[in-house]
Amino acid sequence: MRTGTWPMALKKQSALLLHLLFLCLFLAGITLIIFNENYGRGLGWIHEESYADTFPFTEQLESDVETIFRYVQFKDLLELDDDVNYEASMFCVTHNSGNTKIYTLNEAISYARRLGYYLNENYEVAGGPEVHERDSGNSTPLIEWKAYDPNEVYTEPGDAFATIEELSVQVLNVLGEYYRIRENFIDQPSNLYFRVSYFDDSAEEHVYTNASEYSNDDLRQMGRYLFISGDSIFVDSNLRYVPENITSELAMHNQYNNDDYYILLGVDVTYPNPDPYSAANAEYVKVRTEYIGGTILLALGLIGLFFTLIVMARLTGHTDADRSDIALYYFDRLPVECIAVVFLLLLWAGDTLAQNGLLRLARLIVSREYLSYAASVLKGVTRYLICLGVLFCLLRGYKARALWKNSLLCRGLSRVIPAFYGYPLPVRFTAAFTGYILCSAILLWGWYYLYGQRGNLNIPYLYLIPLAVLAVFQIWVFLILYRSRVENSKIARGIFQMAQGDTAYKIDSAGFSEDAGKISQALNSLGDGLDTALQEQVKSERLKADLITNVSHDIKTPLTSIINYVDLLKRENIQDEKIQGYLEVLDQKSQRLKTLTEDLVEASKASSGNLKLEISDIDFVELIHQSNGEFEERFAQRHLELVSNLPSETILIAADGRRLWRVIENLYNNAFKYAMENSRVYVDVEKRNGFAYFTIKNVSANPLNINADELTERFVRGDVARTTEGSGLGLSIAKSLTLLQNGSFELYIDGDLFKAQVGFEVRGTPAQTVN
Amino acid sequence: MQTILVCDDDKQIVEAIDIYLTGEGFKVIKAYDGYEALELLENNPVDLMIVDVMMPGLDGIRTTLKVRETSSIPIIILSAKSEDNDKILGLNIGADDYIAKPFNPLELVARVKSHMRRYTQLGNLTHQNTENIYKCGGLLINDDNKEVSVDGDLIKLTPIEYNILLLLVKNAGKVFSIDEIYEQIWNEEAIGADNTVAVHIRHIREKIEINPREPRYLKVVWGVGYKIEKQ
Repeated sequence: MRTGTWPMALKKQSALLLHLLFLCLFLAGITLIIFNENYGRGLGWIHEESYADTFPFTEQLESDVETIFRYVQFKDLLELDDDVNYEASMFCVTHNSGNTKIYTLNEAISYARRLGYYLNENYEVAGGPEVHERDSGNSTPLIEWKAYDPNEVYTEPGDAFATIEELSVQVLNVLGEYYRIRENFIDQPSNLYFRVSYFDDSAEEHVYTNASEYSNDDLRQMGRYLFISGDSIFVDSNLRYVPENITSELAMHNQYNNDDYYILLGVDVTYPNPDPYSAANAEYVKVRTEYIGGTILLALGLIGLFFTLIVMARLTGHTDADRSDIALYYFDRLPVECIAVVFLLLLWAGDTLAQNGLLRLARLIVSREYLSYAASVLKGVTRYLICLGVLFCLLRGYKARALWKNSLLCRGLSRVIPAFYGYPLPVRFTAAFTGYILCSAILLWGWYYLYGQRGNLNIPYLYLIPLAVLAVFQIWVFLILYRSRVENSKIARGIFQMAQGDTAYKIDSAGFSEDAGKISQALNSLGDGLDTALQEQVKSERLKADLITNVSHDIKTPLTSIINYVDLLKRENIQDEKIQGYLEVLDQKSQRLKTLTEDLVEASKASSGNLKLEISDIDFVELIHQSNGEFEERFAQRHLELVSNLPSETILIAADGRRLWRVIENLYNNAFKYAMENSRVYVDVEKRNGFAYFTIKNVSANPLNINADELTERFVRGDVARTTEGSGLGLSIAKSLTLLQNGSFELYIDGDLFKAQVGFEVRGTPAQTVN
Repeated sequence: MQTILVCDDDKQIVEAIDIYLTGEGFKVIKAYDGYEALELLENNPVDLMIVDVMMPGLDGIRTTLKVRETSSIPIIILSAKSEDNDKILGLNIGADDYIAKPFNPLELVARVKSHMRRYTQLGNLTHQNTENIYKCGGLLINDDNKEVSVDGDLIKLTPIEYNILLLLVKNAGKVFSIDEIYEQIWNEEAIGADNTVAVHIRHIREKIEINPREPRYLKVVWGVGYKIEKQ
């Protein structure tokens, strides 16, 4: 199918045509089902049930069982050696004269025939005298017995008397019935086979059957069977319903004083012989086929309706497959409120038209019994078509995004809202909130009022309309508040992220309202600016570090010559003490210059983070032990006593061992250089709140007239006069290196007491090496 | 007489090194860039080479690579670059030692001598009875007569220092914590061991290393322990 090449109008028309076609299918299906006898029974019966399981079948069977036992009775009465015994005694009467007379069948027939009675082709009694002549004298003799109705009970005195004519007609009726049974069951093949068998006291079997050529097993194989025997209370059958009368009839017709009897019924469910069963089965199959057909039509119609509806929904509004703009009809441009009113009017007009116009037309072709159904179909179809039209009108409006824009509410609001912007925010907010309360209150009141008046209203459930509008209104307000809350939280998260240093964080403003979008954009650009500034700073810090490294290389080369030649001069064995003194100064200062250049490079690298760390798990206590070993004897040179208080346990921290040693070394060096001679230097390691703290304390030789924070600034030394050796970078390097390894570094000055503390988080589990 | 090739673009530095090494009895040939050094190396028998890194023309690194293509003489790099990366690079491309400028003349001379001895004298020690002799680079321990020598020079150690060194050399490459060393040497449980081991280690280092701050043999693994570098 190359639908793409079809003109749009043709596509639309064929879709609509198909839709209407499927609507007809749907209606046809519904009609077939509704007027089916099985309407209301669901679908289960279709595959579970056959005619033999139905109630009508049981009813038929029940009446046939009655007939069979009638036959049993009649056969004994009327038959002798499979032929009619005309000499059989029928009844006995005592005439008024006292004579008792037994009438045979022949006599009864002759009597009746004389009076004009006969059996017609259906074996029914017909004819009879024009005028019932009263028999002279003994017109109503006393009935002694009736062979054809031995158990008759007389309830009123007159019942025991009857004319010979009446009795003869009764006999004739019995004979007719006997003939009818014979013809229906015995002479003509039937789909119901039976075998009734009684054994008399001498164990001789009396069989009544229309299936002498079939064995009992054959009967059981025919499809449905029923077997009841006198010696069992159980019924052997595959019938759904067992005829209720059969057991009693069977027992009643047992003329012998024993339990030795049975009845076997078999129904050939292929129904090969024309009889009531085959006719009823044919009817059943027809009804069932109709029901299935109806169901299929219904499903087909529904599916077709659904798909054509989708196709139409996609096509509607488009004039050309290549163009995406939506063409609106005049009706589509109406405000949505007008469309709603028009819709209600149309519904009313459609109902009226269906009721008064179309139904009258339908009356011409639809019979009376189906008229109410036709009325509801017409009403439903007109309503459906009206809904369809309005729905597509709204759909086109929605596709063109004109639904809200064209609505009276939007037009009204667009005039009211700008006026509000002139007022300050508190006024606007209060007005908006008051409006919200008012709207809710009015809608609630409307619902309450209409609910109270619901008995007087023509339209049922009208009071639900304000309630529905209220619900939509509340959901709308909730969505606005919810969105605002989400926006706020996203913006807040962005601000916190930026405040915590993640300046590259971007607020995702997709789906934000206009105001929130502006705020988040402003924040994003603020973050951009910060990010750029930070990166610039990092870059310049790195450039500075590179510059210092390069400069230090350039200084080192001439410095090497200076140191070497000073050394060579010193070896020249100069006797002049003055020159020796000068050389000593040169030597000291060149050595300091050397330390300074090296420390400068290290300080700039440490503070710019331009270092490769080899973090691993190390034992803080072991490191302090090792450091003590390195410094103990040097301290002794200056008569400093090293007092260490270290825990015996292992304290694992994640750090770069060599860098941490540089930190500790600098602190020890610091103590070595600035501690007062003959004093003690205290070194502790302690574990506190999951952190391991190393503390070194000493008393300064010179007064520390300086802030602790300033001490870690580069080139700051405790002695402002800078008389001692040292670059003034040691503490700065120590601090930078500690912070690089995620440690804490604190200096405390209390008078002349200098205290430095380095803290690291204690590790529970071994860490991987991180670069 | 042993010949040493010194190569640096700074003439004064070459001159100073010349004075020091000549004073120690070495013959010194001077070159001022890489090409010159290679040329001199081809035409003269050279026992050791000292080369600067940052030179015009062929720099020290490339010169070292070129030399290593044909010769296995000891090469000492002398450079103003003192970063770890620079040292690792220099040693990786085939230099035997790396000395940062500004250098201590005495250290330079000591290292030159050390390399010289190892290159010329110690190469033929391997055929001796090695059962009780432990060797690690220029460090040699003879457990029969309890003698320790570095680059041929005998070192005097106290018994405890000797035992610690022996323990570490026997298990070269393995890191021993202070407690482990204490337990092995003193045969006592180390409960809150003081700084004894660390002090001994420092003493050993001062005796066997040329520059104890940058040890070649007995290395400190900070926060873990001590080890002898496997060589």
